[in-house]
Amino acid sequence: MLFEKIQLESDEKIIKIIHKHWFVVFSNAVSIGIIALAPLVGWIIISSVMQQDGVTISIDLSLYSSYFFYFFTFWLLTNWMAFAHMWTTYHLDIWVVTNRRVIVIDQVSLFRRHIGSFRLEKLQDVNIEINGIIATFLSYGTVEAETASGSHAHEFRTESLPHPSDIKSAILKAADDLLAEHNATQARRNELQ
Amino acid sequence: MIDVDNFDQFIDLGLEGLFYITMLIFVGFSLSLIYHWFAYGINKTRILLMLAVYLGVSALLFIGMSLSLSSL
Repeated sequence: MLFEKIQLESDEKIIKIIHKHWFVVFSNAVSIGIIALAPLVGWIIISSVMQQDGVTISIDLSLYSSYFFYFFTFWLLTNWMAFAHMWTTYHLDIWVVTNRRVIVIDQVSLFRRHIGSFRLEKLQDVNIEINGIIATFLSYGTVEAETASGSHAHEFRTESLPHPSDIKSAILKAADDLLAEHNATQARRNELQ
Repeated sequence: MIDVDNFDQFIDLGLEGLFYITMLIFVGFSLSLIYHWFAYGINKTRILLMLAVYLGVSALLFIGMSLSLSSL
């Protein structure tokens, strides 16, 4: 599993694991569902039109129903695979906030994966953006972490994360706690010297 | 002239070929999906649930495809 690959440090504790908002899966699933069922709706409409009186083109559709259902199940299977692919990218797209760093995994597609991390000491700012009516009501938005390495300021950016302000608070609190820990360690060293 | 019987046989053979090619692509695709789930996933229970649903629904669709193929 993932954490065997990431290899957390000995004193590193996971504070928060964040997946994208469920609405991302829901809206994509609805789109795939509409595309998947479109041929069936088309078949029903054509069948009902053909059964009406006064239709000049008369084709007995029942002769082709086996062919239709063969291609329709093939079409459903293709869309089912597209759904599984979409769910996979959703499930593997995560932010992991620990007491030492933030790990950002962006599963773009099945064979395209970005893994980035930054230590909390390098954190400069966390920006959030909630854009739109649905995003406001369901509380999801974009989270962007800026790090000290200026040229990569926009490297850690993910859209559609749930409760962005909670994520921002968790990251900033972890950074503050780490800073306090460093200060306490430094003070103890100074006392010993 | 097109021999209608031969043409029908050709279509049936093509549809049967499509079934086996689909099955082959499905197996390859599913193996890479399942590899990703278990290699990079974090919630084993959720992955096992999704695996059961994915394979169950896929099996139903393949049964549907093979039944409609045999009725052609």
